[in-house]
Amino acid sequence: MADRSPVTKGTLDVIVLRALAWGPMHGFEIVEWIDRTTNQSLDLTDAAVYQALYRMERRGLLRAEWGTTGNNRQARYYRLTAAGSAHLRDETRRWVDYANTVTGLLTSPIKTRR
Amino acid sequence: MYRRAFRLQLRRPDVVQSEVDHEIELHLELRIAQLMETGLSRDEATRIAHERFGPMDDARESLGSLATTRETHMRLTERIDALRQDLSYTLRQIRRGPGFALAVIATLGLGIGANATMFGAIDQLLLKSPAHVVDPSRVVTAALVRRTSPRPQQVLSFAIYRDLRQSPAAFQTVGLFRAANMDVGAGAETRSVSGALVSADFFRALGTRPALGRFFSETEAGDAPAEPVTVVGYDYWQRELSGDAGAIGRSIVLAGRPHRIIGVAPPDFRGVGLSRIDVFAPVTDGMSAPGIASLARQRQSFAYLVVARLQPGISLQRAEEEATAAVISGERRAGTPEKQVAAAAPRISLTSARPREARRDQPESRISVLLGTVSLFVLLLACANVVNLQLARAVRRRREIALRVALGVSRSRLIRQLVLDCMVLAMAGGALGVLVARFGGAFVRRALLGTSVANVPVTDARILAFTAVATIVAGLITGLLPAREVVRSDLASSLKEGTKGSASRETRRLRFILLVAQSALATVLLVGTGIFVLSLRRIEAVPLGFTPDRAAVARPNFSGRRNAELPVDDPARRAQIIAQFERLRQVALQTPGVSHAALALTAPFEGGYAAGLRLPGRDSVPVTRDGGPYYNAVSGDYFQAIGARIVQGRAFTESDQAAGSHVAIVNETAARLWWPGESAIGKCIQLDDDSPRCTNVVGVVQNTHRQAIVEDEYVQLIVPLSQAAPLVPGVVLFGTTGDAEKVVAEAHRRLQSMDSALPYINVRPLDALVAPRLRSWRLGATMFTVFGALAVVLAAIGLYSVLAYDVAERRLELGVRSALGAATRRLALLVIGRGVRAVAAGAALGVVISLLLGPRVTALLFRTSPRDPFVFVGVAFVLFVVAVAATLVPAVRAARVDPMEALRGGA
Repeated sequence: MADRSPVTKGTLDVIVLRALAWGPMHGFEIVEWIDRTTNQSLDLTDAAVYQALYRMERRGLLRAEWGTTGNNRQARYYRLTAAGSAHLRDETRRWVDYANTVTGLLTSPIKTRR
Repeated sequence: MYRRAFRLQLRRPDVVQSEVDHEIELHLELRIAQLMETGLSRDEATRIAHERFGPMDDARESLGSLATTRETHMRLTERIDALRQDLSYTLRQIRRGPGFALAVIATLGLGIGANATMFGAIDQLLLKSPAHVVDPSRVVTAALVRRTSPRPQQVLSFAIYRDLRQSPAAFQTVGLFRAANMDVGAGAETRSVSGALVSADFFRALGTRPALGRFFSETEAGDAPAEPVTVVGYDYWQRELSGDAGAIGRSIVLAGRPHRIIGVAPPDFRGVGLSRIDVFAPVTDGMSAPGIASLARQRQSFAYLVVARLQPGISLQRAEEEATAAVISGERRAGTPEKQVAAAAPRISLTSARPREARRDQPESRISVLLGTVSLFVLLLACANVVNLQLARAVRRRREIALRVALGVSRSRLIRQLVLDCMVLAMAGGALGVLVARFGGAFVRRALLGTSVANVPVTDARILAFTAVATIVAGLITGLLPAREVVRSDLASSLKEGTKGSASRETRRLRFILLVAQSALATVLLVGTGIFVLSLRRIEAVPLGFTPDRAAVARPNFSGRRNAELPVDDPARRAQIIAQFERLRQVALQTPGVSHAALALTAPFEGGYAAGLRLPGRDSVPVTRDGGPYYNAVSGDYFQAIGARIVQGRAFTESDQAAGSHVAIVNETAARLWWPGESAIGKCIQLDDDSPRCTNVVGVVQNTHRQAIVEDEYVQLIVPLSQAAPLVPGVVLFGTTGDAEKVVAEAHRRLQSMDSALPYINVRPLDALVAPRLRSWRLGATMFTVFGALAVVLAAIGLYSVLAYDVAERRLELGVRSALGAATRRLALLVIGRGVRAVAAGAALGVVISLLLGPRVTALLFRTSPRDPFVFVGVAFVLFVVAVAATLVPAVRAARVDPMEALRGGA
């Protein structure tokens, strides 16, 4: 847990959307999925994930409905809306393009001028 | 359960927050359980769980507020969705029954359009501030009140204007204005445009700024005008000078002389009046220095509107006192005998230039306010009609409405839906109303204010705003009333009954009340129509003493002289002017359709002249309340040309020449007042101040109206033109064998083509001078007829539709009665009776209302009682016929109900 990367708002949103691409989940499941997938390498409080969820729900990217968990508890289940899926697609493409560009740039051979 | 709560958006902020807490709690619980599975103690697990969650209070707060805004947002979206659904439902309804929708739209469109039309007229007349007048509440117009004159003098003389400029305590600025037609262009291109003669301070008094260039300077409009200059109206600048800024400095020919354009007035500027002004010229335009000096001495030639801006803080009353003092000292300076001043006791009365004060008492204003009120009645009637239609339709829609309620649509949603239905129809009606107002407004403006008033665009913001308000009110009235009825009724039973269910007793009663109200309104409007039409017919039948439709007047404007009436002292010049007039007379006489042509100083309704005279053996000359004696000088055929009858003695002949004995003709009133009980023929009148020479009366002419259709008698003296030197003729009059209207164009062509150097010659039927005086009367009668007809048609439709629905609804009952042996005649009478009862009750109510309201319109009527029994009887008859006609079809239908079919249908 020593070397955790900070997460920007926009990035967290995409990560949460990605989690929900698997299907409806409640808050704890999403946090768990992120932890599992990233090996807890992101510097992120659980509350931040909930804030992302609420934010995106307001924007209409997600929809929440009350449902019942495996141990018969009431929980809010989040699912992607059509707008959410589209947003995830767009953001993913942008991320990949961006990452490719920056990666290419940073890994290009250094020519010394003299 | 939760799902439903979510869908209906019933959650309040505290509920929202508790949901947030619930979610956090669940999260922590699951986390702790997970940690404890790895072997941690509960305390340890709780600590780590909280640590990983982050600061609890911050999270609760921020999640709570996010959730709240989310709720608001969603509620809004949901509302919009609901509205969209309702709207599409409404449109489906309209598509399903387009006939009903069209009826409602047409009804409301006419009602709203009538209101928007009248609002446009009232707005222009009374509400809107004059354009480009700064702080109009401080701008006043001055009138002269004298004990010797029955009415205040609304236009003043140049000398009094000068006096008023001498009261700086009262006024900041005093300006002068005179509307005058002006000739623009030269030769055959000459055209007559509406113009104004103004003083330099006129614009300053109003606070108006030019759109371009500048207004007149004191020297340009003062005693020593150097170069002729003009200011053109914005409209004229756009129209004739293509809105070119380079027009400033250019020259146009005005009254025969080139004038340099120095400025353009701002758009829509009409001074404190309503008429468009195309060109402005200085009041002293074209006058010589002696001419101006003579004008300044004229205390009695009243021609100018005096407009002044009050000093800040001074009261109207104080200003009037100051102004009066200035006028009295002016009279003294001019040497008016003290006795005369004391007798007249001249007083200046000031009126604010704000339209609602300045034009309050004008007949145009009063008639439009009345018609505005009437149009409101028409709209009410239209609304009542629509409510009735809606109620009738709601009965048919009950099954469907009940079904929706059963499916969980809330009553409030249902009411919203019904109101929305009406609102959509009302809006379509409002759009139609705007169209009606577009054309109706143009008609009313022309009928009320003449052609020179600028058109108001259909997009006029004030009219649109008014229409919008009227539309919403109409939508609410026609929506809420039926909705209330529908929702109140027992829906469950109607679901069982199906479409055959009949209206509840309350609904029926409401419908009956609406019918009564409609009939009452229609009665009031019909009574109004009756008395206003009667009044118009009476005023049109007033004998004017001449035949305005068989006579025309031409007023040439030789050498641009605007005051053609002023005496011409140079005999050679006078002879020249008379010769020009004589040539015009000859040409006019040869025009086909012209039977007589004559010259005169002036014509009826063209302004008059007063003469000083003495009657031997009498201390004073008896006159009527209208002042005088009035004076005219005419050539031989004058009386035949205007169609006035000589009742005693003779007309003038060729032998009445300057050198011969002086003769005169007096009117009937003069003959009666001056020589009561005697014949006027041969009596002596002394016209000259200096000599006792007699002018002998040779004839008596019937009274002719001088300036109005409703006016007091007055005394008049007419002399032959040949004996009237130094006066010169001002008009050519001609009598026509047919309608004068048809002759004027040809006469104008002939006169104008006589000589290319002639200025524009205005040829008008005398009717054109008389007609404007009838305008407000005609408008009153016309609009009342339109509104009255509309009211009757609406009431008839209302009656018909209610009864028709009634019969349809009661088919079963009627069928049973018929099966049980009721005579068809009885069934028909049942229906007719219901309709006639409603109309009779409404008519009775309407008669009472009319009798009560009557006295309020007396002032707008001409020798007609607002309680004219003939009118009331006529209205009763019309209503009875309409009621029977409207009930006839439903009654026949009721009588023809086939019992078998009705029973089968009802099973």
